[in-house]
Amino acid sequence: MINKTTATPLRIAYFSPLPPARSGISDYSRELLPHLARHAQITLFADDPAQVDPALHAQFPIYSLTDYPSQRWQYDLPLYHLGNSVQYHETTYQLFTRFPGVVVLHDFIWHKFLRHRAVLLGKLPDYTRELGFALGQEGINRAWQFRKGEYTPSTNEYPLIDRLLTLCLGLIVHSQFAARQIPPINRPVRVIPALIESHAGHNLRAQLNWPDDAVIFASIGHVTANKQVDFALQAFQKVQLQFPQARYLIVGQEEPNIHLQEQIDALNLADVARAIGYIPSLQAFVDWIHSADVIVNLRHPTIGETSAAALRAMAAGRPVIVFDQGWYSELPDAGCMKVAPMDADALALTMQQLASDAALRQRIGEAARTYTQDVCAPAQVAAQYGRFLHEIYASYQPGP
Amino acid sequence: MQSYDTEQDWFLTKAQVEERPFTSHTPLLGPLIAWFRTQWNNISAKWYVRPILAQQNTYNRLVAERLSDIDNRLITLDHEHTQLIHDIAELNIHFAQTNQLLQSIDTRLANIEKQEQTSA
Repeated sequence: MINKTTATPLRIAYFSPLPPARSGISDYSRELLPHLARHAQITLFADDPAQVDPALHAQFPIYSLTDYPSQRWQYDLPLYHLGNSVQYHETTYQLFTRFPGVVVLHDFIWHKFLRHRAVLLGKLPDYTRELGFALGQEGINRAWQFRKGEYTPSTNEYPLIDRLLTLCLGLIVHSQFAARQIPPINRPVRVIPALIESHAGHNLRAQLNWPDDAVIFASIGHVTANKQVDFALQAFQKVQLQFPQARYLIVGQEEPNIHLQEQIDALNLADVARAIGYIPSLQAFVDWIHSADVIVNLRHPTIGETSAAALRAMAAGRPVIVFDQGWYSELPDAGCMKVAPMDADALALTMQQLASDAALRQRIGEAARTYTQDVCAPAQVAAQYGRFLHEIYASYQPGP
Repeated sequence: MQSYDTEQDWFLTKAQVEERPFTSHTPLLGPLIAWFRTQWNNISAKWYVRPILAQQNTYNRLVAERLSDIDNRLITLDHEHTQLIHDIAELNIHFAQTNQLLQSIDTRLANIEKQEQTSA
């Protein structure tokens, strides 16, 4: 991608959590960057460059976020990846509000980030300001009611992306679902599919000591309340009665309020379900996906997010069960199984169907793999980034 | 959590000070004590306190309205300020583009001068 003014590549200042940060957006950037480098000259900015994976140091110049204000004249466009983790995005967001650029909004409900930083970092006046910005005087009242413990504004009802939209030079989201919720505003918006790199995997079933003919269902990724793993386990309990060889594997770190083992014990599934916790290496994570027959990837409520775990499972050729809502509804019907949100009977029935039919699992898995190769391949996604960034840059160039 | 009534200004309702009825938790004699206090208040304090209460309410309402006015002005300024930051970001791009253009003109000029010197 060429900067027409001088026939040099577009120079992008790139802001994102970077490996080894335990963040989906960090993994996303790891997979995007080598391909994006074919379309632009990339410089990375990180909270602490010394912590960044040496492999990235070998490929890109990496500077501290604090270096950006004085260096900013050297870049054509800043590109900010923003998600709702305060730990990984607070300093980047602060920088974005001073030096706006193109934003990749990984979590559409920005309200969650703003409330977390209000509560965790004591930035309550900022929260009042954001609600006021979005809702006017009514927002100020709501913020003060929140501060007095009288009321909690709904994050889904008020996404609070207003300031972000006003500031940004362009916005990238990963789903039509998210794009539809953006209020009309004079900023370029582009839906660019989430990306996933296909990794070869090994089967680790032997480590589980489960029967060779076991049909393994798995939930993968960070275990939070809205992943509905307990709901999936309840459905699995019914499946297990009909298919004694069925097993359930949970791969991923659980949040402190989840208590997976207690849930497994309460459902009398201790012999057939197992939680193996956080898997630090991406390769091992992929290996565990390859060890499962079916991935159960539920999310309720959904806030417009995409699921890297679901795409990783699809790229591995595994059939994935999802709730039919939000971004998940946009997945191809042939490449996954969709059930109505929180419909326990439909979920159990779908799981039974997949447990009993190896050919169906194979067919859906193949369609899923084809979809990720056709739509989510990093090279294709990076080309779309390149086109969009260039369009934005070109829109500022003086006419002939 | 109680739901929010959008028709009412929450802060204004908090600004209103009201008289409270006298009560007593004393067993048996409680109602009598409360009645006595009410009567004594009617004689000794009510006509003195009420105008002060009205004055306080007027002041509270004025403060609430003025704060609300300041809030509205801050919101407007915040919108203008945010839009300006966006506009500055756009100018930064123009600046970077102009800078690059100047550099390329500089290079081309240097090349032309070099060619002229060679041909001369």
